[in-house]
Amino acid sequence: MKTILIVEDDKKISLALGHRLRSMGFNVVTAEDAIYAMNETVRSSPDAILLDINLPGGDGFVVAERLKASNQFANIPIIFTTASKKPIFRERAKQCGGVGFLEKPFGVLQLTNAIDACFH
Amino acid sequence: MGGYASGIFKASRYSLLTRNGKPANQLQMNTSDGKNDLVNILMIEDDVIYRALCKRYLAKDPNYTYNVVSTTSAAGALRMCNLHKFDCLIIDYNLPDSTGTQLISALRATLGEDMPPAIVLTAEGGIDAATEAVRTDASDFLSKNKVSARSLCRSVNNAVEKGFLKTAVSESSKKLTVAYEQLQQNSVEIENFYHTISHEVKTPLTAIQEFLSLINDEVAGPITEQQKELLGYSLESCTQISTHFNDLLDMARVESGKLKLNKVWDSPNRLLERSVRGVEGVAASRGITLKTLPCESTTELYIDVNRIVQVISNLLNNAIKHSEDNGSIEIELGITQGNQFEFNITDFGCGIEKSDQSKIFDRLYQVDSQRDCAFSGGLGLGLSIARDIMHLHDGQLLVDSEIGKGSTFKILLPVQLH
Ligand SMILES: Nc1ncnc2c1ncn2[C@@H]1O[C@H](COP(=O)(O)OP(=O)(O)OP(=O)(O)O)[C@@H](O)[C@H]1O
Ligand SMILES: [Mg+2]
Repeated sequence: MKTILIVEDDKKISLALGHRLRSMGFNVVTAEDAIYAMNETVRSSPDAILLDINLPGGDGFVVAERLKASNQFANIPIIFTTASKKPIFRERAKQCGGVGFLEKPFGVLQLTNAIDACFH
Repeated sequence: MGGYASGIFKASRYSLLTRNGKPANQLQMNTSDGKNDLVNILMIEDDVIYRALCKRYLAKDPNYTYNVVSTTSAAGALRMCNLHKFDCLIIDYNLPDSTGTQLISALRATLGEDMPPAIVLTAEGGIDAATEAVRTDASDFLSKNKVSARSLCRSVNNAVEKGFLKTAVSESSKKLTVAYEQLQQNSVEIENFYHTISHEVKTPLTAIQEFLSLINDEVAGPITEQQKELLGYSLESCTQISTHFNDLLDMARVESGKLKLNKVWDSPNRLLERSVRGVEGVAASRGITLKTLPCESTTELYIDVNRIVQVISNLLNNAIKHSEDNGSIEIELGITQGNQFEFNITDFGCGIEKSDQSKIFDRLYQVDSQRDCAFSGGLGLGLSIARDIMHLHDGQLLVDSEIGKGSTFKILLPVQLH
């Protein structure tokens, strides 16, 4: 079973996405900020990460850059999520090697497409 | 001089400050007599008698009252001009330590834009001095021996008024620049504010929408058909909320000049397909048929695809909103005689009154709910953003409508060479 790490500071969004991903047959782990995200990555070696951009303690890009810089986790596909519409986020997500970019609120179809892109 | 000009002069009169910003103390203002304004003149002339003569001439001026200060050398003139703001200089061409034209150049070098207008007095037959005076951009030159009260006053009047106008123009342009920068700053702040509220609203909205669709998709157990229908409405409303915020953000981005196009080549038919797909559900739910007449031409357009789809979707949504149930909407594409690409979206709904037709493209304008057959809230931003997007594409958005018969919205895009 594949594991997906949800990095999301909004507990309700994290809970809802957890239900959704489990219903799709994934194993789900969660982290609430940038530091936990790193810890959880090391602990559970996820197959994909759903990474919110606005996070307490360093934004999602910082997490992505650290992962890319490591040998072990550089290849984990990342899907960025954000409720912001600032165009710069989309650009940076691309530069950070994001496989997907989901603008909140997003639908199930967008989520499935993004996850499919991670495992194609 | 009318009211406009005297307003300018007033500004200049009260700006009688020293260079370091303190009020001039040696130069006093005197506005108690009936004449127009007190004008500060610096006379650079070493001949005492000639100085007295000029002062007497100037005292006869019916237009202005002069406060004449004098100095005898170029060095003195430079010092005084650095201390005080004068409205006009009267300079003798032959100065003990310099020539009048050299003095003008030196003053211009230190005072720059604040250089007051200067009149050069030349000795009899001083043709060379006169040409030189013109070359250094003196306001006027007068032959010393021919100076009369009239000629001196006229020359000083002209110089002073030109100076006042110049000051007024540069002051207003400075004010305009400041106001423009302030506006620019404000629209950036407004945009940032919209970004913040949009983010803060969309975050809980994401949770609402996701929980609703979890239930709707029966992840938490089976639900009845009716429950599904009701949840469907809630989900539609969620989408509506984010659309409103996206519109607000677009508006703010247009305002701050930050809405940038991301242009690529694409076919008009594909654009239409994408736009129609987005509204098919809403149209079907009201039994409205979308009749599309695709384009035969293989022309491709150089456009921001998402933005043009946004425009067409907006027009389609408006058309659907204003059509009757089970009505129809026609979408036609083609190339105009003027070699532009056109999309025509026609509905057979209530139409728009002539007096409203020019206003519906205004930001936040909505037709009065009494007159609008399909008034349904909304922000009144859709058409203004659509028109902004068309303008950014060097295109147009036009309307033709007749009350009771329906409306046609026309998009025009330039056809460019691939
Ligand atoms: N196809 C149409 N038929 C009749 N009236 C129309 C049509 N399209 C627009 N209007 C009128 O023009 C007004 C402005 O339209 P616009 O799309 O800018 O705002 P809105 O639809 O009211 O709100 P929003 O698009 O921001 O949700 C509307 O209030 C409506 O009265
Ligand atoms: Mg609209």
